[in-house]
Amino acid sequence: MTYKIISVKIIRMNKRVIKNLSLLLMLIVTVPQAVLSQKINLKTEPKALVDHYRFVGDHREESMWSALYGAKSGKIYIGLCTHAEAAHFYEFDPETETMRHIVDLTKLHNERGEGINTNGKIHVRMGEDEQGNIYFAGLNEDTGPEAIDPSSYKGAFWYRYNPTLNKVEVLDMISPHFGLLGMVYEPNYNRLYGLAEDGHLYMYDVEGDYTRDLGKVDDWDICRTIFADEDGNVYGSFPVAQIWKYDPVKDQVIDFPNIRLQYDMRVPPRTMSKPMIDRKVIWRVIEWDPVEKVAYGIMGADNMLFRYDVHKGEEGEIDYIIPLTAPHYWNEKDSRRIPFATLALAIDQKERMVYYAPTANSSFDYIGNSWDVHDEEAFQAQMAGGYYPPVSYLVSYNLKSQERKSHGQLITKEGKKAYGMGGACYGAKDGRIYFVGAIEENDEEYIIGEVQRRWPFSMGLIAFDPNSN
Amino acid sequence: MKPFKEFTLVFFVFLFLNTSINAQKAVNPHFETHRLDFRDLGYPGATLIPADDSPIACLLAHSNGRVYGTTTGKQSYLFVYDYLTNKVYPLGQIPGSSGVHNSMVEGKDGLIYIGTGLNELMLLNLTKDIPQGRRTIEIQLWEDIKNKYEDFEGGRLFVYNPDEGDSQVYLPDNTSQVVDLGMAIPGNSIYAMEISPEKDKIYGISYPDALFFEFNIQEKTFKNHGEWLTVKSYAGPERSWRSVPRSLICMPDGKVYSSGNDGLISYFDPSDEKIHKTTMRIPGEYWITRNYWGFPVVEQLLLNNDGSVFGSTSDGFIFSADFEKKEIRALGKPMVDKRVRAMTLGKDQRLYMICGQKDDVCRMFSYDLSEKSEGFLDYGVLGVDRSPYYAKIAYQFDAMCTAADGTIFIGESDRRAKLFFYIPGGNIVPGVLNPTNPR
Repeated sequence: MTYKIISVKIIRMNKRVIKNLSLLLMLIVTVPQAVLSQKINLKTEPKALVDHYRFVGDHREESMWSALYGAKSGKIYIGLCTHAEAAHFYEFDPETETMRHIVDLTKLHNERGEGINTNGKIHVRMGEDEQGNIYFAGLNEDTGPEAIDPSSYKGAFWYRYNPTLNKVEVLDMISPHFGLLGMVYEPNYNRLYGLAEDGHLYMYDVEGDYTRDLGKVDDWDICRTIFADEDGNVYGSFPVAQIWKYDPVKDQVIDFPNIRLQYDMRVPPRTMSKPMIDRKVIWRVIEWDPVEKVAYGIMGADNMLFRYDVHKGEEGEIDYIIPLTAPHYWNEKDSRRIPFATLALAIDQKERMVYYAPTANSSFDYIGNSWDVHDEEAFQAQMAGGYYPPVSYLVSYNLKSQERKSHGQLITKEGKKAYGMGGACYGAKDGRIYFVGAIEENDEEYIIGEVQRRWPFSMGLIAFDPNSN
Repeated sequence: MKPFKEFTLVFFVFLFLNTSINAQKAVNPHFETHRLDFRDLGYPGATLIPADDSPIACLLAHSNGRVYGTTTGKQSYLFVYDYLTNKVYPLGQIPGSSGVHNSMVEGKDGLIYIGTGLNELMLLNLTKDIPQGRRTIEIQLWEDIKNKYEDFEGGRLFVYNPDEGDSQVYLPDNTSQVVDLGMAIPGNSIYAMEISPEKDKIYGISYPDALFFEFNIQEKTFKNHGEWLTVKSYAGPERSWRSVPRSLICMPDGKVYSSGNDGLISYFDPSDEKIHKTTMRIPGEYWITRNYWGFPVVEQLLLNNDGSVFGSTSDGFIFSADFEKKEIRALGKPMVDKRVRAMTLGKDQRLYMICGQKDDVCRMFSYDLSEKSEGFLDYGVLGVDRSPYYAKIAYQFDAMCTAADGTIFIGESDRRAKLFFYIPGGNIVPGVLNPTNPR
């Protein structure tokens, strides 16, 4: 009996020793590897300190894609998404530093308690007309709920928020099935253009209150951002590395036959379990610069900043400027290691600065719902030698001095990491750069999920002040 | 001014009336209409099953030549159609049951086994004030579905002996002469039922948990074999129902088939008492470009004389299957609407079916199984017009069976339901649509 107890104790002790040794060994092996693989000097590198604002109302949203807009009034508009539930529209007033919940799309459409698919996403950067009305669009996409018959979806719509009346108006239906992933408001013709999940370009005529399907312009993995030039032409990119343009005078979409976006053939698709031409071969995010009358964009695969001058030649001309990756990839020779680009691009038109928030490791998704996201994460982890906190950096490019600068890792003033940013915008009145995304969260009350099912987070609005950093 | 006002009023009244008249249409089916008729569920003022309790969700063509049915409502009733008197006779209330759904089988010695539960035709009012957050919509949907069963003990299996019970007269308050064999699955209705070829075992699927059970007739014992479906799917078109197969079929080798997860045909093998998956997928809409993991389910499975199987799906497709060869063949989808509400094999080499959704008007179709291969025929909306004595255009049906003489019996499933019957042999009018119907 005594012998038995002793042997059990020895076994238990040995187990503990083995466990501790294993842990130590793992630390010895992984820490330097992690540091080396990311080439991050954790001690000396600067930090981009930001103000952090929570969303109000405990709606428990868990993602944001593109839907961040700095209005002429100085107010910031945000669209948040919740998987298999609701999309929400918010307003942030930088003057009073107050966040206001404006609408829940599922309530607006009476989708709750109907057992149907819902408008769970706002996936577009908003647009603004001369009167200061804010336009946006809804989306179901992958939010389902996946268990519920997709034919139950009431459809995707255009919306107009009137800040004076504080009213969200449901405009025309975009499609009974497909909502928008990219949108632009075009002031010359007073129109909205939207790129939908079915790859079609839809146009909404604000004056006439009608929607037109302008035909298929994209393939399965839709371009996330489109832009309009000062003449009212609308542009998007589509695989492989091509550009289309909608000409409102000709009322025609033209697939440019010659111009090609530059992408690195060595960069593999998002998943290698089922490799396929995808969003990596098109631009990830793009914004029209009314000062230079060119567009600035970021390529999906390598985060390359480019300038697209639409006026040069028949198809325009593209200059590739510099990659805006996190700094430890600036000299990266192996382009496969560079994380996929984010949508967090903003231009400070006054100071002529481009701001961009790339991720430090792996491509970023919030919780990650679909097979392809999980597969992409696994592949990126394989390339990087493990899973690392998906932190974001702030990198700027000075259009005047042509200087690239890393402001360091995005950290809130309370010391929380910014894990991944889904969009960025410039604050018209306060000159701050706003981002929305996943913020490290330790408070159980606010945790709404875990990035890559590992890192607890909540959604937050953060503001970077160039003058105080 | 006054005459003008009056004229305007008259004009608008006329316009309104005209619109009202045009809003509905009195339609006849597309075949010789004398082939269709219906019977009340009892004698009005005396034995008639109350209107609220009259929707029919189950019919059984018995070997004694009669047709038995059960109703669904606040209280479930048993009834019989007697061909000798051309009448429906209520056979009393089924104790503690508000619904019988696709769950009547004939056993040895003509005994009828009835699986009961709650009213499974009823659409639920779903909670609108749903908590915010990830997946709360479907979580709440499931909770709402489950809530209905919160105080429900569970569906029971009864046995009825026609030789003893049919000769009685039952008033609406009388109880039927059924014998209670016990509860199948606690907190669940019996949703579909089938008897083994040897008629020694009854198999069933429950709702909403989709549990598969077995009842040993000799031993009078139930056995729960676990989840037939492990995935919760809400494939619609009804928004408050879980998609659970509405039919089972027991093949001559004793294996029990139905549709399972992802719309794949699954079967229970009595030899190992396990549920197996096959590669046969029932036809339907799987929305493969969407992030959707739902799937359709089978509505009916019928065994043909040659051993082949005919089935239908909740998406409205008809198919044939050879389970031994692991083959499934989509035969088509006769109606734009989803759902095949009822189906039966006629004695005239035709497969008869009622298609259409609960929120629309159902129509009857047939599929030709003869060498002529005429495909689907549209019989139109089932309306009976014997004005000024009686008339009815029915929109909802959920049960069908073929009587010994080949007559197709069709159970209406609306309030104030009737037992319809169609005498096969009719011809669809040239151009399909009955020319007397206003267009």
